[in-house]
Parts: sequence; structure tokens; C-alpha cells
Amino acid sequence: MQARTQPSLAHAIEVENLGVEFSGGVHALRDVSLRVGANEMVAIIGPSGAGKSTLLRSINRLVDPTSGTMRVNGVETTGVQGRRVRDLRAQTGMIFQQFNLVSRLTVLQNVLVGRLRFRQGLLAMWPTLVRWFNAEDHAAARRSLEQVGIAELASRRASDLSGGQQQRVAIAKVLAQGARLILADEPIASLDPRSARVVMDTLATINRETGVPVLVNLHHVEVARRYASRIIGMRQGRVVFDGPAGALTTDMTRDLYGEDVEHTEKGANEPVLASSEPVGLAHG
Amino acid sequence: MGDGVTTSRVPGWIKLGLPLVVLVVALGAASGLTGWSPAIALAVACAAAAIAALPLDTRLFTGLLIVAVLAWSGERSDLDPIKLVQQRDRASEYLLGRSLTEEDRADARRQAERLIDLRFEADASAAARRAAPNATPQELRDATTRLAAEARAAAPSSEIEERIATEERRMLLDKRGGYFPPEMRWSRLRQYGDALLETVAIAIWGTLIAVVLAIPFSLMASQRTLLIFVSGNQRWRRGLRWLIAGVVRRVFDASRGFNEFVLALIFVAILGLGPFAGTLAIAVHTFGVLGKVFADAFETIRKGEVEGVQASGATALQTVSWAVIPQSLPFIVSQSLLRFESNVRSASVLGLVGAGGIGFLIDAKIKAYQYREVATMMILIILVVALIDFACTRAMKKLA
Repeated sequence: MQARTQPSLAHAIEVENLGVEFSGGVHALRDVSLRVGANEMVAIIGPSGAGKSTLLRSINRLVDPTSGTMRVNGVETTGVQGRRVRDLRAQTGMIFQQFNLVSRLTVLQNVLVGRLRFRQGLLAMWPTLVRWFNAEDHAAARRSLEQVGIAELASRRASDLSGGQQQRVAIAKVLAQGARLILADEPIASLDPRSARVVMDTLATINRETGVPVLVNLHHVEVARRYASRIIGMRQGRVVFDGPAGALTTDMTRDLYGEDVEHTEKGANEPVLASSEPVGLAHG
Repeated sequence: MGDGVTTSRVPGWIKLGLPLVVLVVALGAASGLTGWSPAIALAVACAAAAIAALPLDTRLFTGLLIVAVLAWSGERSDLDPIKLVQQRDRASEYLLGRSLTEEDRADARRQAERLIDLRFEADASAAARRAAPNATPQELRDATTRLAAEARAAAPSSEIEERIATEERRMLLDKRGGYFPPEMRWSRLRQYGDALLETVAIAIWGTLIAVVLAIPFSLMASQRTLLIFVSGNQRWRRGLRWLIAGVVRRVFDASRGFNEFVLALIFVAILGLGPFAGTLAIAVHTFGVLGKVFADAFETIRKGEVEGVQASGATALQTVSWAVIPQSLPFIVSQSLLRFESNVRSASVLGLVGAGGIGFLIDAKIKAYQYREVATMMILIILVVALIDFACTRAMKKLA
């Protein structure tokens, strides 16, 4: 991991009264306030349509909030535009449910996407448009791939990889990007249980070893309980629970998901992460 | 279709009967009372019956309307298969040449002999002039006659006969006319080849200019890629995106709306005769076609890949290069190759309005009734187009 000069801030994310109203009058978020500490790993749980994704996407401005204020890493980001949105996204790594890799490019090129933020000057940008990077960028990308343990896949096409491998490429991209905050939007919802465990362990290890805060949306209460120190429960666009993982009782979970928890948890995705043996970063 | 509440209450015999009665009455009235041709009468009657059928059965309405349109358009486009049969003799005479009479043959023989005589005389005249530069015209004429007779006597009669026969064959072919056999003289083939290469060159640069311009413009014509450049969900930003896409798409429509031929006329008027006018005509038309096709393709790119790159803090141009282009490149290349092949065919007729290429030669040869040369050029065009088609198909397969 690269040495990172990080100002010691109390909070990585501070969100006050955030609201998102889509055209058509649908309120995806109502009056959401939350804080994520500098080294925390926080899980957001809640049923589908609760606004978990919208909240994460508001933080790095893939969605424009319609009300409320935001500070990320101590910097006011409410309503910023253009260059300052790019700065915000550059500092904020995002992991998607569908991995969102460029399928026709190689694994290494996908990780190099994380280096684009360092090559944006009036002159520095042009080589990147034809996929050219200097040795420093290549070294950083390869180091990131080694960290997530898939260095041998560097020259494969992204679309040829399994889901678990693709998600690890996405994590390597975030590492190469040097993100100071990681947002993970349902990172394991499309993965088999074994890959899911590897991906969650990788995120937890990054959080533990580098101190980068992780805010992760999860479908499964059990997974959230195992990995997160704090859990935020959302329902119908509002925060209905915010506290340590141990404080989340079965009754609260039932309230969160409506009547039958069993049904929700056994939906499309198998919520089995039985083994708890830790998987470390390969060359952390 | 048409099985709504209204139709279910109307008995079947009325549903079918009423429009048919209207059809027969209208047909009788139209053909009896007016001077219309049968096809137009049928069209009007069907249209009337269709209107009668509209509240009863939509399927019947559609069917009658189609018959009406076909009858009318057949009349307007003068569809007449009988004419084709009647004119079959003219067709075979035009394409294969007419059969020659005895008179034609005698004529050809006479002309060939006269041609050879003229050649001897021309040679002799030149020789006489060289021998006695200061002779009087009368002396020159005498000398020419003498020298020609001597040369004729000196040449072996078999050789003279051969030369006459060659000329006679050519005369006969000219008299017969038609497209066959195609002209195969080497000097001519070289001339055609040269013009054909110019045609291909026009297509190459016309297509290239169009592709290079169409890519950035089509990025501005698709809502999904415009979102990369003008993000945000405010009313004015959405309005701006809508406006830009609308304007650029209208530019595509305008460029595509004119046929290459019409554009070539305009550019020839501006730039004068020559292949540059043809190149620009091809470029403008192809720009309109490819711009629309690319923009429609950008409308279907996977949003996730774009977000994946944007979320890393990439600029708009970086996002295009890393998320949009990788997805669409195979499509862009295959469509460009397809247009290139089509442009070679278009460029081969642009010469008809003086915009360069082999079309100019074809036009000249048709006007001079040299159909056998036209036949050769047509064959060459078919060969070249087939070759390019083959190469492009191979390239596309490699890419996919």
C-alpha cells in the first residue's frame, strides 16, 4: 500500500438532511443524516428500494441530491460542479454490484482507469486518450493487482473473468486510484458465496490495514453483522437504525424488512458466508 | 385487431357485405361515369370501401387501403409488363447488337479497303514531301500516286489482305453494336483501370472525412453520451442536452437528405470539374448517414461501464475514450467499411456530372455508342466492388 498523507479528520462523510427527488416526484431519500468516521467500516442494510444505492451514488454525485448538505473528507461538496465533482470522485472509490468494468479492455487497462485522475492536465491528458501511461502508472496498477491477488490475470480480457475476479479487478482499480474513501454498492449481490467472502474479506483487510473508511450497501443482515463495526438501517428513503452491529436486535431487523426476514434473506442471493477464516491481502 | 365491443355487435354478413357493396357500386360508378383508367377506378373504389369498412373491421380496412395504394401507385409508375415483352427485339438488339445484312457486309469491306488505301496514300504523301520539299502541288500529287502504287506492289498481297480483314472485322463490330464482346485492348484497359483507381481514391477519402467528422458529432447527438459532457438533472441542463442533440440530428438529416449525385452537382458548380468535388459530395452524404447510425449506437451503450470510469474521476474526454469507444469500436469500424464499399459504387457514377472517377468515361462512351467499352468498365467495377466487399467482410470477421 502506498504511503498516504491523510489529515486526521473526525469524519470521512458528513451528510445532513439529504434528500433526493427524482423527476416524477419520487422521493428516493428523505432527510437522511449520517456520519462515517475516518477509519470505520459501516454497512447500510435495508430492503430493495430503501434508497441505499441512491445514498451512495449521491455521495460521489452519480446522483444529484435535491436538498441537504454534504462534506467528504472535510471538504464541502454540496452542489459542486465540473472539476470539483471530478476531484470528489477521484478521492472516492466506488465498487458496483455489476462490477462496471470496461468489458472489451484488459484487466490491467481496467485498473489503469484508476490512474486517469492523475493525468488530467492540458497536456498530460492526451496520452491517456490513446491508452498510453508511463512506467509509474503501470507499476501502481500492477501493485494494486498483486494486492488483491490476481496479478496473473493482468493481460486477460475483463469480460473473460468470473464475477468474483471481476469484482477484485474493480477493487484493484480503486486501490490504484488511491481512494481515501470506498463506497461499495451491493458488492457481493451478484457473486457466489465463496467469491462473496473473498471480496468482503478484501474490503475488510483494506479498511483494517490502510485505515480507508468503507461504506458498504448489503442485502444480508448476517454479512453486515460480521464485517461492519456499525450498521445503518434504511427503509423507504429514511434512516431508521444507526448504531453498533451488536445493538441490532432481531425485532429491529424484522421491522426493517417488514414481516418475514427469512423470505427477504433467502431471495435471489444465497446469504451464506459460513466460514469466518480471514483472507488477508496477498502482498499487503 | 378490431374485435372490440363495436364489431362484436355487428353481424358478420354486414361486416363483410357492406364494404363489398360499396366496393362494387363505387367501381361501377367510377368506371362508368368517369373517364378513369381501370387501375385508378379500382383505387378509388377500394378507398371508398375502406372508409365504409373502417367502423366495422380494421383488418378489412387495412387490406382495402393497401389494395388502393398499390393500384394507384402501379398506375402512376406506369407498370406495364406487356411492354417488356413487346420490346424484347429492341432489348436484344441494344444489348447483343443487330444482325447484319449483305449490304452491311459489302459496306464494311468497301470501307476497310478504302481505309487501307488511305493509309498507303498518307505514308506516300509524307515520303514525297520529304524527298522533294520544294515541289509544286501537282508534282507532289503525281509523286504520291506513284509512291503509293509502288508501296502497294512491294507489300505481299497476303499482308494487305490481312490488314483489310482486321479493319473489316472492326467495322462489322461497330455496325453490329451491342455490349458484347467487351473491349479488351490493353491500352483501353489501362485507361479504365486508371479511372477506376480514381474512383476508389474518391471513396477512400470521402469515407475517411465522413468518419472522422461523424464520431465527434454523433457523440453530441446521443442523449447517453451527451450526459457525459453536460451532466445534471436540472431543467435547463436537460433542455440544453435536448437542444444540442436535436440540432446535431437535424444537421445529419440535412447532410443525408441529399443524394451524392445532387451534392456532386453543387460541388462541381463551386469547385469546377474533378474528383475533389466528388470526394466532398461522398463525404457530406456519408457524414449524415454514419452520424445518425453512430448516434443511435451510442444511445445503447452500457451505462455501467460509463459510470465505472466516471466514478474514478475521469474527464469527459477520458470517459469517451475509455468507456464509450471500447464498446462501440467494432460497430464503428464495420459500419464505416460497409459505407466505404457502398461509396465505391456511388463514386463510379459521380463522373456522370463531372465529379471524377470512371463515371466520366462511361458517360462519354455511352454518348459515342461505344457500348463494348462500357461493358468492360461495368465488369471491372463489379470485380473491384466484389473484391472490396470480400476484403471488408474478412476485416469485420477479424474484428468481431
